[in-house]
Amino acid sequence: MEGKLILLVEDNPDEEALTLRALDRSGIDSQVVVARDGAEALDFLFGTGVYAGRDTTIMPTVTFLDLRLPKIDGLEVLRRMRADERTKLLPVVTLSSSDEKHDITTSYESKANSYIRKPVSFIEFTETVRRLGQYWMELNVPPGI
Amino acid sequence: MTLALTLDKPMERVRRALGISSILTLTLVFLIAVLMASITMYDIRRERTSFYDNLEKRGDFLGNGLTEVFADHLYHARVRELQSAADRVMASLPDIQAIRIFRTDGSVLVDRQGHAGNSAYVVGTAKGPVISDTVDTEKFAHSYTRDSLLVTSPLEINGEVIGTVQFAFDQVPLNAEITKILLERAWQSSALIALGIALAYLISREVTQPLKTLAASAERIGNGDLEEPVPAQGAKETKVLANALERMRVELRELYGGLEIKVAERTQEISNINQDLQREIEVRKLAEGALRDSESRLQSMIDSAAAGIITIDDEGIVESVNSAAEKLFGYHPDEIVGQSVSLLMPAPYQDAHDGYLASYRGSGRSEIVGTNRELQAQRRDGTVFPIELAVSESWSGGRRTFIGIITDETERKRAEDERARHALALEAANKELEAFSYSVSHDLRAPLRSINGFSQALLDDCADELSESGQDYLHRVRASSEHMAELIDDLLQLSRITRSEMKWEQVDLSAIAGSIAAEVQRSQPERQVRFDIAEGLADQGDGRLLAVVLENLLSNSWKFTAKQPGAHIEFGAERFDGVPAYFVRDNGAGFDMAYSGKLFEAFQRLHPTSEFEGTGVGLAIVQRVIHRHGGNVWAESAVGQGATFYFTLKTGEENGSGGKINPVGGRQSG
Repeated sequence: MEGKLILLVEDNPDEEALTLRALDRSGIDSQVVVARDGAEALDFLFGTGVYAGRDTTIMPTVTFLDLRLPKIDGLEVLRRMRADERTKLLPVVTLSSSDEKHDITTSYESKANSYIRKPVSFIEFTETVRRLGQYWMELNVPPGI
Repeated sequence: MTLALTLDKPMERVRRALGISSILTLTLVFLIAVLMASITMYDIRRERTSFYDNLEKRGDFLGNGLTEVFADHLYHARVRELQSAADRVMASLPDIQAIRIFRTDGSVLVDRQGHAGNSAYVVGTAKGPVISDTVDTEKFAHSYTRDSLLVTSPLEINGEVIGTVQFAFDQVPLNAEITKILLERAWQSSALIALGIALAYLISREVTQPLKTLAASAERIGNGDLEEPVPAQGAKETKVLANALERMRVELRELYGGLEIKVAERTQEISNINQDLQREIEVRKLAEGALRDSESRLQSMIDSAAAGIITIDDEGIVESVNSAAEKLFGYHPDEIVGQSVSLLMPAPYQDAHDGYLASYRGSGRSEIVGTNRELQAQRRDGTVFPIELAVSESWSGGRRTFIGIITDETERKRAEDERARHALALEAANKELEAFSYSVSHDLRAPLRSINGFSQALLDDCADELSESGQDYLHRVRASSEHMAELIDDLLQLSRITRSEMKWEQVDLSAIAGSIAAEVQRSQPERQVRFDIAEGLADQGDGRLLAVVLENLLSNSWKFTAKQPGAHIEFGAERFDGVPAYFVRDNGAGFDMAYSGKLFEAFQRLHPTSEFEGTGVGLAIVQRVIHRHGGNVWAESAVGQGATFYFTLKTGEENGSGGKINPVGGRQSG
């Protein structure tokens, strides 16, 4: 998976660990960049802040985005991505605990490509992550960058 | 002019009196008579002319031939010879009546007339002198008397006149001839006239008969008899006339026929109108009576009305107040009647009111008349209170009255304010609940996922280091975390159902039940369960929420028949209190009716989780949905006998949850 990159935006270290474990166990060996809040995610994407000087021609193949984030929340990250020429077409999958209709609707309104509710059962979650990786990393044809 | 009239009038009269055939006959006879007379006259004239010509020629001849003989005898005075010569002439020419010979002195020398052969003419001569006594002897001449032609010729010897001879020729043959002609013409005329009359008769029959018929027809039509057709006969023109008359008759008949029908219709109409009028008069009479009754009723209604009723005149002067208005404003009628209505208004309205009335009088435009309006009013004690005012306008005898109906809005305003406060509080509570739900769904699940995930990680990664019981404990931790996630989801659903807005529509319950049955069957295809879904059940409700109800009830039945061979689940409807009671029935585990009170409470379970899994929220959700529809839900069951869950979507006619709902024994919810 040369050059394939996943951006995981997740503030909860437990969730991060479990997600990385699930990714690992589902056989997806792409590079995973973890951003622990919204600001960090945007810094990575636009090569600012701690990521100043990053080669921004390399963009994540897919971004897994949590909605509840410190500083800048997930929906705001999504809106800013969609507002920028460099990131407006990048595939974004919302990964959330919530099944509130409001969250689902606003995610799609902010042009998320997909909305996934994280199941409590880790076995189910692993299966979910495996299928997500398979779909977004292998099946899906990404927009040309 | 007078002359013309006097001439014309008799002619006219004759023409009118005589028929066309008489005129024709008379005209023909007249023409024939004139013609025949002309012919006769011509013939007579010609006859006479030729007769005279003949006579004159003979006279001339006689004169010329005999004058020498007579002159010679005369010259020699041979009287006897002269007489005998005359006799001979007369004897040989019977039409000579007389011969006279005169001397130059005019004396008669010979006078011979009326001999035997000419006896007929002698008679004629007896009537008067045939030959004149005096004669111009110098000239040869002709002259006529009534019966004779006298030819006078001088007697000359050697150029000297010595006497005169005169012959009288008989004219009788001419008269006879003329008589003959006259007779003949008379005969002919008679024949012709007879022919003319016959002809006139024929012509008149041919021409006038059709005209007479036509005239008769016209007279009939004139008298109004339009039934008999006008025959077309006779000459072309007559036929044209007859046809025209016939058309006129037919048209007149149709016209009269139409007229008769119209007259009949009009008569009927008038009679109907009269009946209507009669009825209307009766209705009016009744109405007048009713009006009097209703007036007195109205007065007592006004007096007993809860709303204040005040009437004012065009100038805003109070004319009447009812007792409710008295109480409302705290005035005795004597204090307010005759005063300006602005007395009842607080300052800002008071000033505006008079100008307002004036402008309405002028323009007829109003913001108040015909509409309801919320205003402030003032009591006698000066307190201001809210009212609703409805003003209507009434005209009576050219005088305008405004009728104001006043409702005290104090209480309503207060209730309204309170309601608004409650609504605000409710909204705040809902917002809080929403935030809470959000927090629950988001924040409570995250630790559960950690517990579950890391337990699984332990099991996966450290299985070797864990005893069998240690692994069992981890499995329990995992199962508990998953169960708690389910509880959280069910709780969230319960709270959402309470919050969500109802969308009323026609819901096909049979179709929903059918698709849920198919779905649960797919989830466990190995199970043999018979579903009976009644067709065509539909009702008013929120489709999404009713789908949740049916899903819970059918899933319950599915769950509780799991250990039942020959499982049977039924969806149908019965009548209950006049409304449909829908039911889901199964032949599964059932429950003890003694615990039925707990059946619809959240997190209450009547079966151990080890036997049938579930959170105990499902029936609580069902109950909330049904209550939100204004219906009822109940169950009937016995342990091991299966269970039937009923629900209605509206309250029954006997006012709701009455008699028959004997809440039913315990059953597990899921």
